[in-house]
Amino acid sequence: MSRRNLFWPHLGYGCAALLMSLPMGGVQAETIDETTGLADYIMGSKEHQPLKDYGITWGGWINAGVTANANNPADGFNGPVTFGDRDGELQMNQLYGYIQRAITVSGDEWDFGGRFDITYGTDSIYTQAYGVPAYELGTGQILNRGNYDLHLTSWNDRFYSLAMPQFYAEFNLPVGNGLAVKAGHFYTILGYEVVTAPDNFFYTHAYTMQYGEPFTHTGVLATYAFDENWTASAGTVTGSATGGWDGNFNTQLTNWGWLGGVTWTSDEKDYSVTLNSTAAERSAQSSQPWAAYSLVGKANFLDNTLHYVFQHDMGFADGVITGNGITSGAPGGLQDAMWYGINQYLMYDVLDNLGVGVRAEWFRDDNGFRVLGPQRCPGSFNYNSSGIGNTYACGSSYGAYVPNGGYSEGADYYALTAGVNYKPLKWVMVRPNIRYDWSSNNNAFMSSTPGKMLDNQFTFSADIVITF
Amino acid sequence: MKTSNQNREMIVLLASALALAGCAEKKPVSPQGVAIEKTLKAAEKDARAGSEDKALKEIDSAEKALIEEDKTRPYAQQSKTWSGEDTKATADRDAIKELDRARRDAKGKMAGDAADEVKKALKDVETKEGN
Repeated sequence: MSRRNLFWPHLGYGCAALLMSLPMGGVQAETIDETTGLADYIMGSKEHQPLKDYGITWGGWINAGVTANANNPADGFNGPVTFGDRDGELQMNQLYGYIQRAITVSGDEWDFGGRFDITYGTDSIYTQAYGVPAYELGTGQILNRGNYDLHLTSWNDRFYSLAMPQFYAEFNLPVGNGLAVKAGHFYTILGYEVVTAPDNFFYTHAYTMQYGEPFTHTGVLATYAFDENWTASAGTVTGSATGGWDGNFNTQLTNWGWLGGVTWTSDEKDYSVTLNSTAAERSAQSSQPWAAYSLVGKANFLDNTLHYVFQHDMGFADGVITGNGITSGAPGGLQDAMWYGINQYLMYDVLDNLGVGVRAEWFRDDNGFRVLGPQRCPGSFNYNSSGIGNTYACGSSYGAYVPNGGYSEGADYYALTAGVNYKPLKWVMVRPNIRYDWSSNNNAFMSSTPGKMLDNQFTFSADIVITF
Repeated sequence: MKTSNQNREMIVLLASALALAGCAEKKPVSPQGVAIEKTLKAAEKDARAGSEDKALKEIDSAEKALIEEDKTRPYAQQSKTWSGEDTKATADRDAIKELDRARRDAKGKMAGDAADEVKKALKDVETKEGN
């Protein structure tokens, strides 16, 4: 199993794809400071959005980063830290593109549109429709994981793959202030951090985002603005054996659950509070409940230059096989699992194009159910037609990457991150950050000695996002 | 094979919806939006001319009008945003942010900076209004 992830060939494929997508000989319309993206700079503002007058637009970016881990982990993984999950290796995290027609939401007339997102890179595994695990989480029955975008291109590559995190149609129903309805596969409304690289302050992600929330859903979601302060969403989701999380289009379609919530925003947009939740039976094979909620509060101070964000997540899954259940000898290893956490952000805009920020987080995986070594290993696990389990990202040496004999362990995880967000151009963002993780789990982070585990790690990461 | 056919049907359905959507016409700017853009253009002009007090009044007026517009034409606001989505909410938030900063700079007698921020707010309002 190769340790290196072959960044340069993949970056080459990305750049080639980008160049092939841009018509040659375009006119450079504006100065580099005025342009909104690379395509705008190369082709001009009208040429790079030829269907804008019809409401159809496209966009995208390339995001690449590198992380240095002071532990010099023998397995090359930054423990349970995801996205920038490799030590000392350049990663092309996202070569991302989308095409959409945004709808006009109003009470006056019908409108319809939609959106399709596709991404290639090392982040893809974390946003594929992986909501059907390789086995039923309570009974251990082997499941069909679905084939919407899961492992679509990845069986021959440990790190790089394709994902299609959004593929939905959207409608405006002209009732009241306008009811917007999405139908298809779309990003979750739970939480604060997002998959899309340009929309986060930090390169690295919080535990709550990776382990406490879904990334996507498949189903229907309606959103309505009651007035200038209150917005509510309600819908139903399917295609998942994890309570409606990260569902796909072709398995577990008999299991439907709830997705929705409410947001309050102040008149001047300085303050907002959002409470969203999911609740469903776990899978088509089990009626045990799986639910979670996420509370996010935001506040802006000092003429909108100081930004504070508070987030609390809590999740429940009853009757599931957990690490603690197995090691404690619970019948069938079954427990009612819980996970919860709090993360806070403080960000200050020093200049229009320069921000500094800190993030402090505590995440509790109460039963050893959510956090299990490098997430790329269990995330890429599947059974072949002969019933033999394997993980393409970690191979036959899977056990060597997962501590504690392959079982997770109930523990607290803490992370403190400080970083800078610098935009030398409107469409170029550079984000160095330092991060210290520690845990009550002594097996959370690998040392430079294979198999020898530590309870903390220090990392330095930096990435660049170039928007098209 | 049935599964594969279902996928294909779903893809065709969504692609058709997108294609048909392309025939839709662009929506006109609201009268409130036109008035806000006019006020912001005046504020930028006055700030560039060094009339901070006059610009300050226009900045306040434009921000109030933006908030009033949201009362008559409310739109969905959520805690998460993804590039390209919810452009109206993002543009409205950004416009108010730029106006807050323009107000601070106008009060601090930094008219040039205030004018630049009003110009950015104007672009955000144009995005919000869909033009």
